[in-house]
Amino acid sequence: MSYMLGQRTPSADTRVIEAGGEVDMGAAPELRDAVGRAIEEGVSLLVIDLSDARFIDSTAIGILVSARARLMEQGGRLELVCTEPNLMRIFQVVGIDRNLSIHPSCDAALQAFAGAR
Amino acid sequence: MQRFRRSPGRADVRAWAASPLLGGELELKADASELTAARRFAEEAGERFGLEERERYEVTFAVNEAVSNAIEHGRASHEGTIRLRVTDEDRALVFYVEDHGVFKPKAPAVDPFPERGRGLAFMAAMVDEVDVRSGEHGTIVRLCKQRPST
Repeated sequence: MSYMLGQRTPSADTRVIEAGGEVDMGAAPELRDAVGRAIEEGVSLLVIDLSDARFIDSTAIGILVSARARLMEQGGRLELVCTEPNLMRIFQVVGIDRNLSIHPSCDAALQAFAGAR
Repeated sequence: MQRFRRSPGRADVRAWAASPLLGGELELKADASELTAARRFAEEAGERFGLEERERYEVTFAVNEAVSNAIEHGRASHEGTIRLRVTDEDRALVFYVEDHGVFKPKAPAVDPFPERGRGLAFMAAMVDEVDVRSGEHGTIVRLCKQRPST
């Protein structure tokens, strides 16, 4: 298994999903399930923490973009955590950095959200 | 072999001399667990070809997308094998991803938040040329990355 997925709920309406390793097609079903559950539960903030991710593919990026759109429709937000330069460049090259807000740490993502409320 | 008859520049000599893997190939099952091996193959070929880390990552990303698509075709047709080949053609690093599934254009998506369908555009953003040839016997994707001019 080349990927790791974990999740936590720092407050009632906030979910953090940590996706590490190689977030490829093999990781997609679990990532999709975890993201889908958070949206169904109606979280206000979903943080996808890619701090430990070395690779991400178009399927996983698609899951994130789709999740953001669904969340926005129900008044929620999706924030991304990523520092890995290769991943950041992928986001830039495919133009996803314009649609997703990317933070250097999970705390920064949570604070940005708290500040925006 | 013809490509050795060209007179390469100094940097090229080093790349060619260290390129036993260029011309290599890998057989993969139509299973997502094979993607790690496909990425390593692409990464190593890029290294032997003399690409910088940034270009190697781009090539690896594109190969991963092509093999992911092939895995989906393979699943659909229940015919397992995918062939990943690499060659150096002129000043370019070229990968071929072949599967035996039949490519079926999808019906227009009804999903208002589509999750899939970005693979080809992403591949095109990462390499210099993407060609997809699909017929009744399968699909071949050709990915071409030019050697950066130095």
